[in-house]
Amino acid sequence: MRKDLLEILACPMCKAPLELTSEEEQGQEVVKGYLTCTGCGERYPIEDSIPNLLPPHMRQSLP
Amino acid sequence: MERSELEATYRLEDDHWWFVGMRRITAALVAPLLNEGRWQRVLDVGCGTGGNLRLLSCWSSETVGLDVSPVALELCRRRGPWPLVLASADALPFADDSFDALATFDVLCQLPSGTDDRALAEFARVLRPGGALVMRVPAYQWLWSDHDRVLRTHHRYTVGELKRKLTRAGFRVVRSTYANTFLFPVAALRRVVQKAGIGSGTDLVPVPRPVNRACLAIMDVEASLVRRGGLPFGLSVMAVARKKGASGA
Repeated sequence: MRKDLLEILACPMCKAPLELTSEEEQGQEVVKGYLTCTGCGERYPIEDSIPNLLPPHMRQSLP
Repeated sequence: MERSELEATYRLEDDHWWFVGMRRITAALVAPLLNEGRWQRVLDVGCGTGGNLRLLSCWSSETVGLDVSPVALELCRRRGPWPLVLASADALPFADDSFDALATFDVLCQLPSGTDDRALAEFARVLRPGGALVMRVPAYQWLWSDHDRVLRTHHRYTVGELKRKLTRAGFRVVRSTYANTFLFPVAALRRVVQKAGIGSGTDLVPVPRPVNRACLAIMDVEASLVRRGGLPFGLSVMAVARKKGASGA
């Protein structure tokens, strides 16, 4: 995930801004980490450079 | 869609007449909007395996792809370096007024009954006032067949129905038309036959090169008719709308 995408990202549930925690980076790209909602506290993983911003109930049903 | 179906779409999207033709018809519909200049940021909701991201990138400085399928995004990434987000159309993970335009092709129809209105409200929320919505959905519920079952289509629309929904969601419809018109009789017959239990699967299969060229030529005629006005019936419904407020009021 490109870091500047954070400017427009929001929690899919409560629409509050997200806070980035980066665990692995390549240049401007966050490869692994997570996004935490500053409103409801929900945590969204970033895996293989793609943020998983599915609502929690849909995230659990993924294969 | 299953991985095998997504991989088939990925292979077909660049050259198959339906995908190429629909991109040309979309370009014909969108052209007048671009007179005022390129868009800064565009979101493709339901970008799938990424066939439309390249087209949208011609019209914008930044194109973001969103899909509910991790497999689709994995295939999409092979096409180019676009920012991609795994998310749902009816719970968009973006701040209000983030995009100048939003494109969504054959996605609204895949949402469970009743959630399409919620998705349209989300589209309006993330678009800036006056921002453009470009969309396509399949036409006529009576044409629902095995093709739709494979593609997970829950509902097929009419132009009137889509316009009413867009207006309710806070959009002003700028253009609306049917498309995929000339091949409508052939496809409609195939769907009706499928309903009778003869034949199954999607219509989107590889075709011999001369057939592909001939069908694409037909789609080019449709694109020029869409540019001049619109088409009275067809397999798809297309619309361009603006979010109310600011210059779009």
